[in-house]
Amino acid sequence: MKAQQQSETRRRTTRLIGAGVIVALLLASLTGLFARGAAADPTLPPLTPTELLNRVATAQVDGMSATFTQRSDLGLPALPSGIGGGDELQSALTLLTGTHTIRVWTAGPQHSRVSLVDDDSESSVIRNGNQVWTWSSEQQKAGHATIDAKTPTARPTGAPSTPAEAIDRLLKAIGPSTEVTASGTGYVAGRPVYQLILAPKDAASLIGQVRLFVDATTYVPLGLRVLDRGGAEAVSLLASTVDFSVPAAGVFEFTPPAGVEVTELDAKASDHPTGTAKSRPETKTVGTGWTTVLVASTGTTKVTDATAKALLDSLPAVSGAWGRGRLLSTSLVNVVLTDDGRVAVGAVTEDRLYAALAR
Amino acid sequence: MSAAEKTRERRVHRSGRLFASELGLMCGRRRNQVGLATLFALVVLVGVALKVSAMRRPGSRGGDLVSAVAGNGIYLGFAGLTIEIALFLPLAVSVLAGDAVAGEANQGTLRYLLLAPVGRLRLLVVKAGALIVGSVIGAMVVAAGGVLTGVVLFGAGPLISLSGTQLSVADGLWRLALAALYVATGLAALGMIGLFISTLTEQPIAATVATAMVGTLLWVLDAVPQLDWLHPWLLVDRWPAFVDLLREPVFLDRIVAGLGINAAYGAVFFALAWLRFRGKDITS
Repeated sequence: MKAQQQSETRRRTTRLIGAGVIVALLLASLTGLFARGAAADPTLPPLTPTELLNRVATAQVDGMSATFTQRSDLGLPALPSGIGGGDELQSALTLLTGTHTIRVWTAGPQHSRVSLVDDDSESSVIRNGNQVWTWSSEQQKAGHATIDAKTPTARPTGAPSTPAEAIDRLLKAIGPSTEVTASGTGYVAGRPVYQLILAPKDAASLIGQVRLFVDATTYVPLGLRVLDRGGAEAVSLLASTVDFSVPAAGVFEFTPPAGVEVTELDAKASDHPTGTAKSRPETKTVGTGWTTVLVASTGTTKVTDATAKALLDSLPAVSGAWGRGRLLSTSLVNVVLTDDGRVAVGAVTEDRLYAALAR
Repeated sequence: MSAAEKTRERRVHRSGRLFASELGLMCGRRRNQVGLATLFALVVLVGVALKVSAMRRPGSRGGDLVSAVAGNGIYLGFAGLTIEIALFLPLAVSVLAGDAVAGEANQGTLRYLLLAPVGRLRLLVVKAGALIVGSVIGAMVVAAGGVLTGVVLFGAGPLISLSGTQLSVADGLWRLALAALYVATGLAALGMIGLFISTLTEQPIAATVATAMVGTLLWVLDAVPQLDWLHPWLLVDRWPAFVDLLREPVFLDRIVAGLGINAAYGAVFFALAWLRFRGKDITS
């Protein structure tokens, strides 16, 4: 009798242990996965927004390897493949929907590599000294350009050469129309970051705010979130892993493999791959800062591509004093394509676009 | 040598023998051999189809793994994994897992197994080990069969990585072996789900079908864009990440996350299988 009781107790104990093991396993996996998200915000020396922005503008690291995750939720359906004409334009369009992984390596201003890593393809832009290579695994094509060695940082179009310069310019452009506030701290890619909120003052802007995450030790931006007027996240670009050691030199070396088509790009073409000189549209901008509207005249009213035409016809028709056209409305950007071949684009309400078109 | 050590040695010896006999049974079953041959035949079929289309339209070459085969036979190993990862490999593992416990119960051999001085946990560990070995064999047969067929039909040469760098043949084969092992960890995790289901029933067919359905259901859920918040938690979501081994430098983020998910699923379902099996009444 006693032996039976003992074995009964033992069985119950083992069962309890078993259940305990499972609960522990589940908890361990859950906490392991949530640990980063749930960690308390780090305490960092307080900085005013201006101080922080100045440090961002002068931030300099010897090297960096990072993986970024980019998410877009603009309320657009996944785009059918085969529209968009140019291949580069199309790969830019795919960034507007879904989730993408981007690997970035830098070693000083002369060496950089950015690779868009999708399911089973990869496209890269690699800069090694004055050599620039582009690579697309999907098309098995490489492109090559040589940057003038005498003016290594001057690009023909005046595009910014360093991220700091780009941010500097961005801040100058948006400065007066923006409310900049510091918003505590957090973690990105396991590193403590400062958070900065940039909010447009103009009510016509579709962008509610941009949250910038700045690394607390190197002041390198590790990500941003763009929220729409309703406070929903429209676009985010966040680092998932960051390593500030200088990457191996081999990362920036590119030799086109045998059997791969190599096209020589002139530097201008590499900056503006979609607009050849002949068909480059006439453009003008209306407004300043966040609510800048870009009005382009494409000169053509005919849409030849059948898929693109079907897509265009599915958009709601709009008309006004400015003419008639179709409106592509997303949570962050509005586009009006008029029947007489003009295009107005802006992160503004559609009324602002109509006003710009009427000018 | 003390008595306790001797007992332990005998136990280890016995477990080893049990494991060897389990592997022998698994590999000796005619249906498993036919299943393995089917996995192999499928890559051969894909290879022949690609050869025919390459002969009809020479020179046209896309960038995905399947069309890359036309330029280099070694890619057929990777393409084979891509093609069979969604249905055929999970199905093969489901068959093995269905047999594991339910098969023994159905044949009435389970109680005789337990009459031998072997603990239930030990028996389950042996079954799980055999499933892991089976997963590795399945993935390896697909990868090796792909290389074999591809090299015969298209010849071999240095590979072009997804990042546009050149990989030597040895490097390519090494990466393919790692890719097959990575795929095998996922299959083994599905095998643990199957092992759990196998302890719930005495009908091996039911366990096999249920496991295969779980695998398919996971793939279906993974394909629904509206459920993208769920995708990182699904077992199969990062299975195709083995192609990240073809990048330069190798991209490990997704593979490491995938290994973690595979291990978590495997551990939880093995624990569930044990909880169920240790208290189970063995009536047949």
